[in-house]
Amino acid sequence: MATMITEECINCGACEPECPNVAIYANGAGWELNGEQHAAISADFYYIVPEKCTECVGHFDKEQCAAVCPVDCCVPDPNHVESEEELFARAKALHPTREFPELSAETSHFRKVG
Amino acid sequence: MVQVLLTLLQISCSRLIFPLFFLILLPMNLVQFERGIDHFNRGYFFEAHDILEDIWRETTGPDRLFLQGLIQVSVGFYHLFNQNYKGAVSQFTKGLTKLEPYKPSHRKVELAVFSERVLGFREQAERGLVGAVLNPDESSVPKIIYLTS
Repeated sequence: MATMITEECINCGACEPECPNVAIYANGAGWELNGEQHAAISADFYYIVPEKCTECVGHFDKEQCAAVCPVDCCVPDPNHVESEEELFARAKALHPTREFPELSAETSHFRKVG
Repeated sequence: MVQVLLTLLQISCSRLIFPLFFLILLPMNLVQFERGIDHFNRGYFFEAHDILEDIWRETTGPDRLFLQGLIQVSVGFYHLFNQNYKGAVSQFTKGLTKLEPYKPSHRKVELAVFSERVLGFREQAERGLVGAVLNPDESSVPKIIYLTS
């Protein structure tokens, strides 16, 4: 599932620069995908665009937003449940010029043991 | 002045002095910690969270969760006084859970009574969540105090 930011967010902005997919936007700011502009999803706090979130699959072993969030408000979004395969396909689509190595425990939280 | 600082940095980077350089930096973090506590005690909860967050980012080891617990309690009060009761309940709960293993005190910071009193504010926020009209008293927010003995 995609990661979401809850209303506990204090708008510190720590998560935004950590996202490898540029899926995190400040409250009120519109988001962009493939050159198309979209209206802000949240006016009150930072938000994650589900269409751009890969739960860091393809990049890191854990969600980077959650790792840096001091208030633990970057959590799995129950309304956007997705498989590792779907998320990896999205990562490739978002970064068409990048060559992704095969997924491992270092690049997918699905493969972490324990 | 810049030259003096550069020279000091060069000296500090030598093998012998390098560990001392870090020892000199250590009290800086404690000073920042006390600044964060001072902001909390004066009711500047957002600023307190901000200062403590900067320290938290650089901290590893046993102090990390202690700091995060205090950050989350600070954010809980910030949300409470901004009528974000859902956020307040959640942050108080997370913060108190993190502080629990450090009770009754950590780094001479009293936590047992403090946690009990924060719990009272969490109960207030829970009432706000189900529609009660709240008027939380900012002056009764517990202070973070240092134990003397």
